[in-house]
Amino acid sequence: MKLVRRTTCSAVLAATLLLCSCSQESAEVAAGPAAAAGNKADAVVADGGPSASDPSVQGPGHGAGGYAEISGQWDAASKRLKVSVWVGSIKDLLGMAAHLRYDPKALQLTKLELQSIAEVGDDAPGVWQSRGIAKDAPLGRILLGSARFRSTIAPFLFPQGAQVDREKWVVLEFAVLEHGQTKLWFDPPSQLARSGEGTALSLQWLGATVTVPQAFALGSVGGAP
Amino acid sequence: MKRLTMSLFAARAVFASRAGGSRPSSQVVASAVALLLAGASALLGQAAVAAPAATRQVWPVIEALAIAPDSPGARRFQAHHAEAIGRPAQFGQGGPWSWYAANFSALGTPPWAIKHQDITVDLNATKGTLQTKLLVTFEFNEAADQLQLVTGAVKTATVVGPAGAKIESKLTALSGMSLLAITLPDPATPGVNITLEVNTLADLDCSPEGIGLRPCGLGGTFQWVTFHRYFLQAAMMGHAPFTSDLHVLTPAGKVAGAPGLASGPDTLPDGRLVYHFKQVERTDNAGFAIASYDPYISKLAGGQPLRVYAAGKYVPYADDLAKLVIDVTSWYGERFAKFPWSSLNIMQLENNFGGGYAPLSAVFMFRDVFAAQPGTGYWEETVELTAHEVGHQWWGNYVEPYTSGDVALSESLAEESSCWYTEKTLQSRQQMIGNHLSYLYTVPGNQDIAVGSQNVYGSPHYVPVVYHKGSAVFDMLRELIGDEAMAKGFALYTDGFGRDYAKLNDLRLAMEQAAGVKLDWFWQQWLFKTAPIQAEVSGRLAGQGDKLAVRLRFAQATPKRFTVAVTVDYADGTQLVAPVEVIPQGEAPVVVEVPVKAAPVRVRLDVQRRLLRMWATATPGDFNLSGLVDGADLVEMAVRHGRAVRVFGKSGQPFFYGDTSWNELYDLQPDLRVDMTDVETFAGWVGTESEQF
Ligand SMILES: [Zn+2]
Repeated sequence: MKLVRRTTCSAVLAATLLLCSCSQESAEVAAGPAAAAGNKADAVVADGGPSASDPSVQGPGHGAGGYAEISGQWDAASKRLKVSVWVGSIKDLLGMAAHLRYDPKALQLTKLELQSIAEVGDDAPGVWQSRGIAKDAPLGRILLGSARFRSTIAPFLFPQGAQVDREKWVVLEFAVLEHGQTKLWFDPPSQLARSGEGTALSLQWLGATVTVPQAFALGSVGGAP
Repeated sequence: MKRLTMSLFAARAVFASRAGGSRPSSQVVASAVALLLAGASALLGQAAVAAPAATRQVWPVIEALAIAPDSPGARRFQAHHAEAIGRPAQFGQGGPWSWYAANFSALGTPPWAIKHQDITVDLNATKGTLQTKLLVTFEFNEAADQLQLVTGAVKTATVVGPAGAKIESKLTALSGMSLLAITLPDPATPGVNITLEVNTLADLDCSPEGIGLRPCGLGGTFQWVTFHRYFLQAAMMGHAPFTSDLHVLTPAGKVAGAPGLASGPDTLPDGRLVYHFKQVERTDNAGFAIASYDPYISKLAGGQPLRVYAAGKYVPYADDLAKLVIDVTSWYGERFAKFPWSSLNIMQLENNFGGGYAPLSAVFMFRDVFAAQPGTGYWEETVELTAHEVGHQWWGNYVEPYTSGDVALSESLAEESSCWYTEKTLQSRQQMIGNHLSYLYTVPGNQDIAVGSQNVYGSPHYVPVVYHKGSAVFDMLRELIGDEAMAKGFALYTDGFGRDYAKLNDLRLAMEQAAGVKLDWFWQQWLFKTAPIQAEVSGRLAGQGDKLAVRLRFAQATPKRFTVAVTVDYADGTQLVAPVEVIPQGEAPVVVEVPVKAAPVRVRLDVQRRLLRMWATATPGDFNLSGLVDGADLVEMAVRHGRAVRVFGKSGQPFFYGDTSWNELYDLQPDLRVDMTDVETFAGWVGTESEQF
């Protein structure tokens, strides 16, 4: 069983470019279908737990092969919808990118954090750096991209991909602005993943539906956090 | 390497508003968290757009760099230093050494000329001397009595007349050569030939000069004299062809190799051998080599004898080289002209020779290429060098450059022939791409010189300009008019100028006739002007629904005309390759459109590097030419990260490295390396949209 170090950036920083080898909360995540399934939902501590009138996030769940998928939960304490983009089952990932779309009339993005993915791989720590971008521009179109780069360059060193069993790529929080259903989706022409040799990898880019029940009380955006 | 600090954002942003702006004020957020959001990015994005734009350096500063030693490129580069016709670099720089005069059919009627030379050479490797006895036959059109000859530097020269009488002569040193002025006792009678015996003794200086190839070698295994001029008519030294018989005195047990039909050996009373080489063609350059050769004898496709002179442990591999030479001569024979000579001899020299040399009907090459075998690592370099040198049988020998400004007709064509051959037979454009990079990244812009310049021989960048740019130019021509027209043009050219001298424009006329298009713009742009294509490129997706097009804009500081292959990758894995003509009218940028079936994943220009060009993104970082700098561009950058055409030696000195996977588009902070500095520069442009055009 392969142990994967999961790094998390504590902040999103200057110039939208992330260097994610920094502050990290190491968590050992056991790979494999069962473990992956267990890790699928975000660990959100919500006061009182979810209720039927709370907003929810529903995605289709991935099949076999590489994927990017969305999970999320309502967090009553912060009054935010906490959403994660997960990627996994990719053997040789050099980088990936997409435009994550949402309806700014229905949701307001209040937090956007990119995590480092595919950084470690089989080499010693420090050989690779993960760099990424996350930018909501224009509103409703979040430009996402992550790739791994060698720390040093030399004539005979070429890019190599890394195995990604299951890693969290993006953490987002939304305030909800409207009742009803709204979608989070990856714009098809923007979906891109490449291997170490630069070939295109075919992933399942799975969006999700956000449901805000009529019973849910809106208007709490300004109160957070 | 610059790194971004990974500290938590403490600053507060004045952050407000979103598009639409019809939401209640509760949506206005000002907090550290907010700074992590769109607003922060937007602010940083704006700042980035404004700041770098003012000072942005688009093109790299090119320094004259040595090539990285011990790299595959260094071997290739060294091999490409091969010289065609052996004229030392000081020729053609004006004064008495200029090339001028005439071609074979239009040599005019000089007062006199050398018709034939019977040459006996005696090389003493121990003393480092070359003793030469020549019977020089002169023909006369006028009653001349002053004969001015030049030869490689000699120490002494004596001249003996037909009746055995000593003839008055004076020897003068001149620019590393020797000038021998002969005064005949009586003016010659027009129409009557005279044969004089000239005996010379030379102290050999085997240090390389000018072209970088060693002009002689006196080692224990291989001994040779190359680029040797024997005697030329001084006034026409660049155009003084004669027929010859060469006799090489050879120690017992050794074998001599040289251009011409081989015979012998005869044995002298002292046990030494004499090998004979009959050169029935008129030519002015030759050389010979002595070693324990065991010549491998074969035949070219046309039946002419082919001898591969390899020595010692290299003998078993001579058949591979022979097969290669047979294939190359046939391949060229189908495209240029049938192999024109009655024999071809290939001689192995020591490695310190440094490359290849191809006088008429012969090729001399350095040792290691004789050990190469198909499938081994060194085979490609061997094929490249061999094909270049064999190419000189046509380019530089069968058709000779008329002036020093036409040297491309020798070197550039030999190199393009080799690249064409390797492209088709090795399925590799590595050689040509290496040539592109060498010119682009080792010739400083202010030292660039036109391929067709009369002074190109004197340029310190002679090799990257003539060999590398020159071959790239003819490769672009082939791309433009097609393989078939190119071959037809060459056939017309050799038809008109075989065994003659030609100018660059003679080749143009042949190619125009073959292709049925005017090419004067191409000749002007690429042979008589400097600089590569340097274009800042922007892309956008135009139209909607099923009427989509990729719109591209090319802005060039010094506009050049070209046709570029635009490669469009779609999400479904299919690909479109569309040739697009860029024809600037004055300084204005050129906008072109390529109809597409869907929004592309990426758009790339000249993927196979067929154009001598440098691209830069006009919207910095929009590598996929989508019109928006986004994550996809970052991923494309990761694929090209780590490539460099400038590397550093142990003590930090910069070298050129011909990295064939180099793509200058990604060198955003142009320093000839795609490194983290470029990635960080890219960050400043994320979210930028290309301007409307
Ligand atoms: Zn050459």
